[in-house]
Amino acid sequence: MSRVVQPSSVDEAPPARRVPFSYLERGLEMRTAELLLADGLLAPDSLAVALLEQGRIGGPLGEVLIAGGVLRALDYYRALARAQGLPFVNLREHPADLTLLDLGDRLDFSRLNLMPWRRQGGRVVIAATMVTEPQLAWARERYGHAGFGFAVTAPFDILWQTQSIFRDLDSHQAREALYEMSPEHSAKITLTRAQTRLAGGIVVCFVAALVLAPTMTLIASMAAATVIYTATFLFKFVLTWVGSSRRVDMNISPEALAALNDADLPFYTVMVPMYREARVLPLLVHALRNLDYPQSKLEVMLVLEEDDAETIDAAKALKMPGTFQIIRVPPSQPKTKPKACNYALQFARGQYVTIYDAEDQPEPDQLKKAVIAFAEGDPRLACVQARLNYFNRGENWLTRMFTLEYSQWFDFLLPGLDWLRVPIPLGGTSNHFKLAALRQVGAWDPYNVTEDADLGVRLAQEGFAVGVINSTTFEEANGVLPSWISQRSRWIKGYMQTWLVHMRRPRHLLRSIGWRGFVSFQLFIGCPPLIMLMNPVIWLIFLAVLVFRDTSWSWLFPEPIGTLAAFNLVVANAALIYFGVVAALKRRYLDLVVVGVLQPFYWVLHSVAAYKALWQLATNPHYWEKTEHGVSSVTQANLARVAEAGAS
Amino acid sequence: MTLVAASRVKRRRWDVFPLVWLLAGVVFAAVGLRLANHDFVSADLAALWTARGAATDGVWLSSLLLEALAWLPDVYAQALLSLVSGVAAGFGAALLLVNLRRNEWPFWQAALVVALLASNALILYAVTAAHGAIPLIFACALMIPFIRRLESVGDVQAEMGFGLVLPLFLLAGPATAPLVPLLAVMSALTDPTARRDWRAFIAMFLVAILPSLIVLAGLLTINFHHGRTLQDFLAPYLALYGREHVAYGIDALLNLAIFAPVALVPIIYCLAPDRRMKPLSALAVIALPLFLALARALFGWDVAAWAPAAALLGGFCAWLAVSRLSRNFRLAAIALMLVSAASGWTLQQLWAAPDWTQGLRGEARSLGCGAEGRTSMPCDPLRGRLSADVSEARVG
Repeated sequence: MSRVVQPSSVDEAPPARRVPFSYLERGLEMRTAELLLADGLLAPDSLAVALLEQGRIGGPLGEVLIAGGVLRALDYYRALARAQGLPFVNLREHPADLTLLDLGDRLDFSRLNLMPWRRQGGRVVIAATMVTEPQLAWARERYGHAGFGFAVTAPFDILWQTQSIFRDLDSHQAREALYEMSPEHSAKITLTRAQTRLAGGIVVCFVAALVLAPTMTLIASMAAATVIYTATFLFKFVLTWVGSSRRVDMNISPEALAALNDADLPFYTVMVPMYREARVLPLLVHALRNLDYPQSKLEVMLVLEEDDAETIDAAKALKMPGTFQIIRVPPSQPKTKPKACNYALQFARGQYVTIYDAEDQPEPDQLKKAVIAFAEGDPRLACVQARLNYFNRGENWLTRMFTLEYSQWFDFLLPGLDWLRVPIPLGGTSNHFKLAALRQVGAWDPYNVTEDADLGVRLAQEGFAVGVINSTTFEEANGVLPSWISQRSRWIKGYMQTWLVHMRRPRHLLRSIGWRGFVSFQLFIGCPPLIMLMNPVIWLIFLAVLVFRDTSWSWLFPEPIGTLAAFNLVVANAALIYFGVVAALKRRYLDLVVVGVLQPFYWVLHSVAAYKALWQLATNPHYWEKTEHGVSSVTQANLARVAEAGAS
Repeated sequence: MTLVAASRVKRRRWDVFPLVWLLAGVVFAAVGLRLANHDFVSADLAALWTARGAATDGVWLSSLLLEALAWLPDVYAQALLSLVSGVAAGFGAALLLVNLRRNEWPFWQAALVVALLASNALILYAVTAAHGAIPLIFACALMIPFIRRLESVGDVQAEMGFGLVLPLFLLAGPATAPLVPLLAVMSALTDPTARRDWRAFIAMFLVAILPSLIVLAGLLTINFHHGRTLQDFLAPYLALYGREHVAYGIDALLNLAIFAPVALVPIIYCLAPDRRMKPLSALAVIALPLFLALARALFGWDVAAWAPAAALLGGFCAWLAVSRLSRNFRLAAIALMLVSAASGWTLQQLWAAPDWTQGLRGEARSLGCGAEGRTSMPCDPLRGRLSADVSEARVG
């Protein structure tokens, strides 16, 4: 009898991450171990430790041995083949017969770790890493009871073979799957024909109004801007107030963590898309190794671009444990992180999947907290977002502002959105998904440069829920101004894309997420870029009045708009500074409180980035501004520490 | 209790809210309209008619309402003021009842507390005659739950809430404005890190005081927007803090003792050994009104002699709504509120304006047009008669 972790209602049946309790399977494992001992490939004490670990966490013995780094995968599976009386096949030297492969089975090859290999003696020989009931059922369904046989191979061989055979198909799927499935949700086209016509009509009407009645037009425009400012401010106030309560936090208690049985933990996929990140790779590997999760139940995918030889070589040089894999993404446009994630997703086998960036330092218990959140949450819960913050907050003024901003975003605003039950724009990393739900909604939009925000809205439209958990991933804050502008312009561009995509069918959006969600979407996704674009105009008018005592602008603000504008200028802006200051409190970053009053200067940078974003939206909407990592002095110090620990 | 049952109980508690609001509002408004009907005019309105400009006494909340009323014909102003005050006071009474019930008070005890508060002469006077006192009572009352939350929960929402309520003392007038920095300092000192590290202290102080600075900036903006100068804005503050005053003596302190004996309850609460005790909010019930009484006694600030007692009553009831009290404490609170109500009515002559008392009794005060007691105002029967205690009833 074997025990399988029960899937949630939105899950497909998970792959066979079974605890072999049957005497047959146990016997096979022990025979394999005996062969390895006899060959001198495995030490007795290593076996003893692995057996103890297997008793604690469950899972096949082979995976425990390989994850522990005491045995090469190739050696284990060769021995397994001998123990089972089956041939062992090296797919790199003897690749599969392509005529036996059905494109429709592509995902099964990754999920079940098998692949039809050769036809021998009238039967199809299937190369697999293990022969258990799911593999047998799959084979019977296709070849009948007597039409197949098995050969054993290593997991890396399946991965390598799948990547090379389905390279073009996988690449196409990564780019075009969402567009082909639901083009209305893809940012491949920035403006639809209807949107272009509407935008053109608005521009024509505005210009005409400006010519025919310039005063009224400008007053109406300023009135609209004032109302938008006020509405956005009030919404932020509500979110900050709600989010500041400790009751809105989805708190996973230490007791719940302690009560968790490692044997019940599901298989987890960790994806780390990277490009030119050789510098910070050691830190990442160190952080992922420190995750408090059974290594044999993890598959870590380093998703690297094929042409990024530097990072690939650096990854190989690190001699990572067997749970780490390198997924090479074929070059194609758009060259974006979501496209790379979509590509790697086709190889994922976990029940849950999460994304980390190269410089991420997640708290060790984050995966377990996500598991508990899913287990105890609503069945519709498809994603939990961990909080993001920075480990180099004190580096300079820019990192301090960035930390305040992130603290406000993840510690107040997102929990506030969660409490209001409205769509949550996800953060770029540390999103934990149910793999089945992620595939159901079409995964990430490769053409959207804030694919995370877009995915959060799409999940809500499909009826899924997103939560925020009390775990933090620490990242490197961008402290270099030009790099910050580039990164921020990408985010703002992405928000513009997200708004344009989801407003293609506003009635459908309203029906799918409700009035509250619709209003929240406008105020949280749509209005901020607009406000960043309008700010310089407003500031110039304010400066003209204040510095040059030029009151000739007062006609732009007749009452009651004048009072509202004065309220926005003084009270709302000051209150926004206050919210930023308060953002430091949940983490007791009291050193950021005083600095927080300088936020208005930070807002100027936002506006600069917004204009760059607008320009790029028009000229190069899918261009991904790559952020440089590893430049922080804190990162340098951490790298040195890790290198020293590795050397000793 | 199951979640379903708890939500049902919660809904039932709020079901009484509209009814209580209506009842209390009607009572307050009825009293106010009776006064208006007998030619009583509140001191604030009288001052507004005298100045015939915006009130610049620094009681900004009242000023806002009175400026709105200035658009109406004078004959309707007092009546409308009574209605608005009644509705607001009724809302407060209903809120008090719901929160007492939420705090496990038996219905009859909660209803008695609300009835005793609403029928207390000082509260009635504030609602119907000295509207400038309402912001002060409101501020003292509303601050207590937030101090309590800071004590018991201490999360960021508690810190924010405290900071957001603090501006009420700025809006209530110059006499209470000094409480803003004082309370901001004290709230910063409740943080253990702030007590050890001056930078943390500055940070927590900023968090507490920033909303008040924002409100101050807003007031200045509105001030300038309406063509007034900085001197106009600062005038009431300079008048209070700057000029020479004659100390009023201990009348306000005596009023606290006579008309607000409820202060004994939080004092005994603080002395009784209980590990769940939250002393800061209990002490704040007494400390805030005491500050006002002392300011009047020592510095001669323009705080009405009865106002600190009324503020204490308001703060005390707010404290009852958020504190877990034993049966004995609850009964003691009710008994002392009864004493307070009785003393307020029987010793009216010590604190209330005579024309208010006359108006309640249904006696119109004769002031002009050939009768004795001419005032300096032109006689106009339609405008009603003026309260004699124009300066006395000012709070800020």
